[in-house]
Amino acid sequence: MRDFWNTALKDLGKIGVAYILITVGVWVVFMILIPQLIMFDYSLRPMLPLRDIGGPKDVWTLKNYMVFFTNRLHMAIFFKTIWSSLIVTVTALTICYPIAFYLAKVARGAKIGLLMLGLIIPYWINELLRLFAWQIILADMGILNQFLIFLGIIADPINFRMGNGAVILGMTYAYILFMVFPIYNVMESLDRNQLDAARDLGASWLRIHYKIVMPHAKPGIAVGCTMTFMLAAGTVAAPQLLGSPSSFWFTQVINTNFECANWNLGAAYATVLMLLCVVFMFMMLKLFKVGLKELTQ
Amino acid sequence: MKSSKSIFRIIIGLYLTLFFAYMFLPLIFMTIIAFNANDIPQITPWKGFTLMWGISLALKAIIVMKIRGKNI
Repeated sequence: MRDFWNTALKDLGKIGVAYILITVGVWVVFMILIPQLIMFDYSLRPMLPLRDIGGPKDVWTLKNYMVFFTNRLHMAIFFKTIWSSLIVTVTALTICYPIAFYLAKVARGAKIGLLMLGLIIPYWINELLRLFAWQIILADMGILNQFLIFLGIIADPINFRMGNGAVILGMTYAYILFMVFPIYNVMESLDRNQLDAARDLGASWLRIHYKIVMPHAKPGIAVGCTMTFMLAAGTVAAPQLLGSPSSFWFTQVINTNFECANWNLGAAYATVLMLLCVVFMFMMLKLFKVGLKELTQ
Repeated sequence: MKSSKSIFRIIIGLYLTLFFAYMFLPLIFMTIIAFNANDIPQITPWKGFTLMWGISLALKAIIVMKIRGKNI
């Protein structure tokens, strides 16, 4: 720790260190800590008419949390959200791992730049617009249904937006980049000679990945999985645009609470979701045996 | 050895093609639809090439600017 401060002082000077400390401190306090604490405070207070706020009835209570833990429907939706976010995470990881490996270790020269550009361009377009594009594809008389009818595979349009499939598909599409780049970054630092050596010694490609690439890419995989999971668990746009009335998501429950002016209950639900994400992050770190320090590399 | 390598190459090429089709087709569809005269956002039936969606967007932007008292 002392070494860290010494090198920082040497590299940046006193003013530089002070500048970083102040800007980061202001950011963390005003943009993260205070809003979260206000939300937490809201979640502990009962919803009261305006004249009672600050009065004797305005005390801290766990009532809002009890509402959540006794509401079986909302609990079910909560677990559905976790489960679906896990599906999104695993799908994104499965799709992205080969892409990241190809980009980092197989592709050479100008091809890398071209593929990178191909990955980034979709993200220049707003997430909502990309979800709208999927809405157009999956609609009852949308592109996919018309195509399948044209091919004669189906006679009547299928309602793709029933259930949770469309939302999961849309989320995977929207957040796949957040999986590619962390994995790509760590894979790029892997020495190609290690792969060649393993191959020369007769290791199968499966073994190379299992024994060399994956252990090396662990921090990237952990970061990618955490980001994808958090984004999937926290998005309200994807279920709003691609979900059907029969499928309701936890973020929509939170949204409805705020729209119905019950900010306190909404805050309690949001706190529960936030705790879930934090727990998931630490589980991923544990699972991949990655320290917080490695995560920042 | 050589044939297995070329099969590997074909698989990679196929995978990349599928992946980028998945990334770009929705956006391409959306762009095409922006020029279809159909009121409903669909590619088929194609009711002819039009710029009316873009023009109406520009007109709306102009109206908003005028309301805010700005001259263009």
